[in-house]
Amino acid sequence: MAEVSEKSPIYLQLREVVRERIESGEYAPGTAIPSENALAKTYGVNRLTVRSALDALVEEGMLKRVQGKGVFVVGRRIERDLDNLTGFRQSIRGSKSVPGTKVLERERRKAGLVFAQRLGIDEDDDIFYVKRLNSANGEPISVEHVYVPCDLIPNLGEVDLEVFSLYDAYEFYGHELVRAYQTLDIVTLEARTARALKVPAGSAALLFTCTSYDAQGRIVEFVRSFNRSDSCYFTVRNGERRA
Amino acid sequence: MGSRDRIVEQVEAYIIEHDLKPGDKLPSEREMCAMLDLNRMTLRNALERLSDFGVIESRVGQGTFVAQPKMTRDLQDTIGFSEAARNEGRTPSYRLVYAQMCEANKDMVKHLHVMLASPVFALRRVNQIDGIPVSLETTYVNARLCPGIDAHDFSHESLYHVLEEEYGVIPASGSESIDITRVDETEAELLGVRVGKAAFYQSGLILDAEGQPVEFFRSVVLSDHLRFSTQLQRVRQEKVDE
Repeated sequence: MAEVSEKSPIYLQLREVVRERIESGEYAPGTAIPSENALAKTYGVNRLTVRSALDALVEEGMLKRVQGKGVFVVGRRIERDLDNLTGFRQSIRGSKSVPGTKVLERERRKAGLVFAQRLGIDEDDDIFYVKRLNSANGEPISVEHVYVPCDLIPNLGEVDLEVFSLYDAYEFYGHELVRAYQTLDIVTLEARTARALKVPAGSAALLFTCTSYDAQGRIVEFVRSFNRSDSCYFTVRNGERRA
Repeated sequence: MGSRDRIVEQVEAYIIEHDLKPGDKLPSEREMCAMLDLNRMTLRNALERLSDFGVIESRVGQGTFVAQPKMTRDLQDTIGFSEAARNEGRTPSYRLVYAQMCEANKDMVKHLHVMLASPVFALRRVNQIDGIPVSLETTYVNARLCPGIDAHDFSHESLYHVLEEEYGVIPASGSESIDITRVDETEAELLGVRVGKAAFYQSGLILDAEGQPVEFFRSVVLSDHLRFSTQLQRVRQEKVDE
């Protein structure tokens, strides 16, 4: 890349400022950078200049523009086959479904006895709790409760989870999931979860519980997912049997 | 977190804090309500969820107890029910519903890749763990692989054991799917549960080492006593994308 100096066009200089801040981590993966208007105001340039400064970074895959939300920093990502770690393959009934996620709740809190045990951390350690609703073609599919140790993904609180998946966030921070243990139970839905899933209270649902580990064997997340039974089912291939 | 989730967590924390083991009794609902400053209804909702999680069990007239862990059935292995139960230190047993030779119908032709009217061994049993019914399994075995298999007494013999030991047929791989069903009258009676109770509906096909279909099965599995599990490992074939 050509050296950018004070003689370079202003949009190129701005591009390098933003690039430098992404690389230094000041603009953290998964979070939004200041709005185009804010950047324009800060540096006394017009919005079009900001736009062309950011365009190349979007092109390079360092930034991602999301309609109506802003411009987000994309971390380094590892390409992978999702199925490799999906386990019980959750099949959405019907084809060509458009997935969607809505965050219902999120908070930073103390792990407490229960989640300290589940995540293998101290009860005084902080965790992120995220509750979200997943859908396909606008129809609710599952309500998920996700618990993540804060020290593993320090910026998770600012990551926009409607733009990036949690898996993206883990990878941005170097905790790619390599192993997971999952169980499947049947539960009865109480009124609130039932309402979110648009089924009658008392309906049966599939409860999917998953503990995922990174390459160092640390638990990255503990997830409980309540799945509407009429919208998905699970398939699994039996592995080779040891001789 | 919603209040119910919080109460569920508080009760679980109580169990951990007091180091309660399976079979230990929890304080009465009245005591817990006072302890956690809740009304009876709210507590009951939370207890119901914990019961669904398999953490506690309510015994009518006796109170609430820490539940025995559910038996975990690993979906990635191809071992039979009895071996899986024994691996967990449980005692498996069966209640035979029927074991008979029949002719392959269209459905069996499709799954087992056999000719219409070819011999098929049909076996239906209630699988029990420590004497408690946990699933009703109906399986159809390609009897060309195991002629005379109906001479065995399947009220106590393991199907996989017989297939391996006597016929050298080793279930090696397969695929299955899991869904929710409501138990019908026949199933309810055999499993000793109420009609309409939600249960797993598991169906699958098992192949031998050559990839030939050995059996296809359909099971109604009670979630109260059994949960399914999978263990996943990332396949190392990544390329870093910058």
